[in-house]
Amino acid sequence: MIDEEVRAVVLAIVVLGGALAVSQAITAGRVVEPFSALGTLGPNMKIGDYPKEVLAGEPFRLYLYVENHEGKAMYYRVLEKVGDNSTVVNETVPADLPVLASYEVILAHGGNATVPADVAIGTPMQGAKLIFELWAVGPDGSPYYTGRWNHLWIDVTSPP
Amino acid sequence: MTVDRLSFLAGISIASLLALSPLMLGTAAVLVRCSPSGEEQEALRADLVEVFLALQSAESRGADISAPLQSLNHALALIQDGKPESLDQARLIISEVNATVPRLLAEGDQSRLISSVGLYSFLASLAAVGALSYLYLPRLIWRSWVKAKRRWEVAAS
Repeated sequence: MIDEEVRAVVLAIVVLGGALAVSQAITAGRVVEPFSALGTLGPNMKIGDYPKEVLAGEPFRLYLYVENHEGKAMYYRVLEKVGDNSTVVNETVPADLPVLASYEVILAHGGNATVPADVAIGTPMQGAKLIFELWAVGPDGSPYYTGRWNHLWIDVTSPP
Repeated sequence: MTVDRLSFLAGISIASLLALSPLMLGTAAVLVRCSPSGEEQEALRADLVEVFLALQSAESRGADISAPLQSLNHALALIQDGKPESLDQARLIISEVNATVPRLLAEGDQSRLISSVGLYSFLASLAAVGALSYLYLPRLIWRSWVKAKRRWEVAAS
């Protein structure tokens, strides 16, 4: 009688332990929530020291931080565009604007890179929306929008 | 008189156009010469994407592609540089990485086989441990219990 109870307890422990071990063995190394990250850093490679006013045509330096947690190697392209208050850009729709510059990097899973970006906005404008969009090369070789973007509001003034 | 002057002017313009045509052709040639670098960059980018996709495939099979990825990143920087010698070097790097793809694919297959064998061995050993525990653990527990209570005395109440 007692022997049967002990057997039942042992069986329960074995079944629970086995299920846990099997699930761990099967899902080991699998990325549960794949994602890519894009960050824009100021001239001192910090968040928050962005230029608010620049001269038209005068280049200024920013840094683009890209991180890969997609569970596989990724070929990223960061597209630089300049719009204004009416420019629409969100997680599903990239800005319908010409590409001013593109920065490319290939990252392994878990890797990151900080790429310098020398930006120059040619036309003077108040409230220019400087947009950086993260694109990636898809399995068929064509680029697709990852839904990640950053934007900065900058006043572009005429040179004296 | 006016007509003569006009025809004279027209003659001069045609003559000057003919005289300048080699120069204009030269300008066109210069403009065209600029574009192959851009076309070459695009062609190299396309090659690089192709090699990258092959590497991604090898990675999904389990191959370690960190070294070739670094090489491709270097090639990418050279392509962005755009100088003819950089483009030549980028082409060389891309072809070198491309040459390693079949080996990486084979490595990936081997790695996948090894990991599958490892997984199934682990599952089999887990099942064996479970069965052995179920069969022999109660006996082991009782044996240890008896050993632990060796000094106990049984008395009839």
